[in-house]
Amino acid sequence: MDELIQDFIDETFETLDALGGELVAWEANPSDAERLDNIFRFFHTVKGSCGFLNLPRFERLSHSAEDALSKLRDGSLEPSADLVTAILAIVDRISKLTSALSSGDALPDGEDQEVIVRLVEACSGTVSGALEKAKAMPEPGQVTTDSHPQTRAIRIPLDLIDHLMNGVSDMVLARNEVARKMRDGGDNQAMNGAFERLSTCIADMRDMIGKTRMQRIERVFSPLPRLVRDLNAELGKSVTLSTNGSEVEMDREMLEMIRDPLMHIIRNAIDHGIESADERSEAGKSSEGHLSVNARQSGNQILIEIADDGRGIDADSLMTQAVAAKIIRGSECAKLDEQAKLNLIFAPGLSTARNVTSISGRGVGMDVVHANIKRIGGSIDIENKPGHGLKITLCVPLTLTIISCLTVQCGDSMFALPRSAVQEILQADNRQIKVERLGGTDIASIRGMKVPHVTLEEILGLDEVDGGKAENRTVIAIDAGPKQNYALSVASVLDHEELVIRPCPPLLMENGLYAGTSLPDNGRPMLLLDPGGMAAKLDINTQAELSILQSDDTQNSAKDTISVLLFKDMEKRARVINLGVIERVEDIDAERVAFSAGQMRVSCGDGTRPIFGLKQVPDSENIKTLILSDGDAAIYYAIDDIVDIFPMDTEFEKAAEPGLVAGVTMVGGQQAEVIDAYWIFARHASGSTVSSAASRPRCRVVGGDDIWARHILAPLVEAAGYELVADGKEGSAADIYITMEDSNDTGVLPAGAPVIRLASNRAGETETGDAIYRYDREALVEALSKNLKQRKSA
Amino acid sequence: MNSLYLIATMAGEDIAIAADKVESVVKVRDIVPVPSVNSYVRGLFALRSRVLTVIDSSHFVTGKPGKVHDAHMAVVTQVAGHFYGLLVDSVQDVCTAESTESDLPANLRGMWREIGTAMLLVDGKTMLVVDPARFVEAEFTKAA
Repeated sequence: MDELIQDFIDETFETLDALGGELVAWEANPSDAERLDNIFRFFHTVKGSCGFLNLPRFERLSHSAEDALSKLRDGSLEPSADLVTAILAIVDRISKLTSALSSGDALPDGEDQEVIVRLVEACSGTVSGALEKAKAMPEPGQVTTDSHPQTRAIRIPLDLIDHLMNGVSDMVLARNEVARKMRDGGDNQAMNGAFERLSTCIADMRDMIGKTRMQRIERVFSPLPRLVRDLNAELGKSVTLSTNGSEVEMDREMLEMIRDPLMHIIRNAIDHGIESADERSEAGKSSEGHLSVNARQSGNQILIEIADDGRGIDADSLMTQAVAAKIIRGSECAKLDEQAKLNLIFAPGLSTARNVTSISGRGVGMDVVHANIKRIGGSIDIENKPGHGLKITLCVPLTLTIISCLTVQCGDSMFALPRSAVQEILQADNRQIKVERLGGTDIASIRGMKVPHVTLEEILGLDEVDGGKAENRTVIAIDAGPKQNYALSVASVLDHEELVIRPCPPLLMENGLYAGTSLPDNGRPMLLLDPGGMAAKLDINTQAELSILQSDDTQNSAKDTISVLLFKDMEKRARVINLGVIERVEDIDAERVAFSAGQMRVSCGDGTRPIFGLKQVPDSENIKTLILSDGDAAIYYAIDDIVDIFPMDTEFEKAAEPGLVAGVTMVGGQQAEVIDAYWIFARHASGSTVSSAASRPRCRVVGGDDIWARHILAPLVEAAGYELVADGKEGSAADIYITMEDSNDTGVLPAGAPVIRLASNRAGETETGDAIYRYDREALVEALSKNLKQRKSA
Repeated sequence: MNSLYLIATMAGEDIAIAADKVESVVKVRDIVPVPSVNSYVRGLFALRSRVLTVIDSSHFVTGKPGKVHDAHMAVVTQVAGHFYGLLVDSVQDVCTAESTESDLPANLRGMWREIGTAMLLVDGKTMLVVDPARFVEAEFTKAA
């Protein structure tokens, strides 16, 4: 009998949540007979089971609901908001009774009658007041939920599944041991084949058992329509809800963890995200607000988006409040970017609600949501469109039990570090990191960012590290949360693997350093470190100053050094060049290189690009080149080989005269010439075909569309930086005109346009005074370039 | 009274542990130390796929670290969903008690008072009944 009652309780609980949603959905669309049938069936089942189990109170409640529903089904009763509310009250009552039944508490009888009476009144429609009240209430929200056909299922106690999981883990470990023994025992083909099969089976089994822990997110989504309806009624708002992706599956424990944060965000959205109907129409939006909740899987993470079309967050007012609540100092405000301002919403003790309501805005909330999500290894992302809505994305791992980890060495032991907190892994001898002693602690500068530096041995209270090996260590940049950045130095990083994590016994949790235990395939237990706990032990969450300091520092350090590439040129001389001007490194075919038109050129498609660093075409098949770019022109630089990339001081010894080599710097005790990229471009870029013709000023030769103009004058004009446009085309306006002194086409010249007149002989030059003899190259080029300069300065 | 007790030697003294609180008795080797926790926590030990927290019961009682040798005997017990291994000097037998549990004298020394719950007559000898959960919880209450 007890077992039957337990089954009844489980079943009832499970359906109750979904039932609320069904009712609200049906209210929005009363013609949906199938939904009504579902609801009816639930009450009918409850009534049936109650009679059998001798639970008269359940029977009375479900009977009254069934009564009302059957009237609705045969059409003798019209659905109304009041009626639905009354049925929902019955649902609530049944839910309360069920919990009382499962905990063995007694529940007073009186209220049963009350809800039944209310339902009967609603049915008979005698209470006209109720109907009016119903009309005054906002229109019920339109609800769209996707429903799924039921799959066959049985109920299994969680214990049994946990046992199964343990069993499978044992099997995996036993398999690993067998594998080790087999490796030691030499080759045995027949054994190996059989062992492979066994391994595959065990792996499959492990996956399947893992799946038994998964549950549809529907479990969390199904009570949402009810929640939204209740909030609508309470706050006098009209918000519709749509959910999507309820078939997404995640670990059941994880589901429990996201339930409260999700509810909280929805309450927030309806309470102060979405405006009242009046405000909405003023802002030119539809009077009905909309809220959408979507879930989807992305890799081994689940993304849950909660988007509303309300007023969004006023980041500046948020900041003002944060200052008022002494969360940040006024002086810090200017340094915050938009996202940092928004993130203030997660600070404890801050509320955006203008009025505290019973639903939200008590200042406890988003910080708790953030903490909860963070604790399960997730993150929250806010996308704010002021005036148009807010989208909050919860990003949580698929399961609590399998975490992507780095394994690190410390003394003789291995520890795991959750990958989600790791920002960057650096070798201690990397030039990007510098550790300094400051007031008894260590500070690390990583790319100009200053963070506390600590060794794992120090945190764990183990013996001091052997000083001589410091440069062989690895530094892990950790981001354990806002203002919880630090650099953790470990003896070495061993691996990156997915670990099954079990909760830690309280005895080991006390110090706050460990978040769980794991048993990797080698069979030696390993502890999972808690990056947040370690931060707390370091007492670094109070170090707000340090993070402010870093932004200035980044700029300074950027000024002091530049990244340069060290290479050997064709004569094997060590040279360095600013990394920024290198577009890419390319091995080119030696056949593409030729000495033509006074310099070495590389054929590229239809044209050529200059290449330098080559005296002649080498014998080898390929030439290694650096392709330099100033964003516009591209130049090839032939080199022998690339050596290294390192940060170079911008101060170096300058060469006596400007040229290809700007100066000399020391690299590891050797001299290296510093290449002047500016000089290269100044020298070579003018001839490159990269600068586009369209951007050049246009020159039109009027009345000169003859062989001389096209073939003899044109190259000169183009070399001076102009584009020659064809004569005679209508509308081909130009920036400068060249006209023959003896031509009669002066009528086409626009008034005021710059004109160069050419004389066909020396005599013509003197007659008019301003004409240029057509073979006076220097004068012509000067006239053209003078005009070009005027244009540029204009 | 026919309840069963596991008789073991702990810190040189014979004690009794109610058999229903004992999962198994195992030999532990290759204990992985856990830094920065209570010194009587010896480390972690993998018993098949379970991870046991190994407690040096002698250290707990006497305050001095006990000598742990290879294949040391440990009593495996489960407290609040977690598994623990209590290191004991040796394990004698599983016996039926000859008396019911009776109240302890008030003058027990030191930590014995924390772990002992009653005394009992087994095999003609009076023994302290030890509750394995106390090793875990005593520290808990102290810390709180």
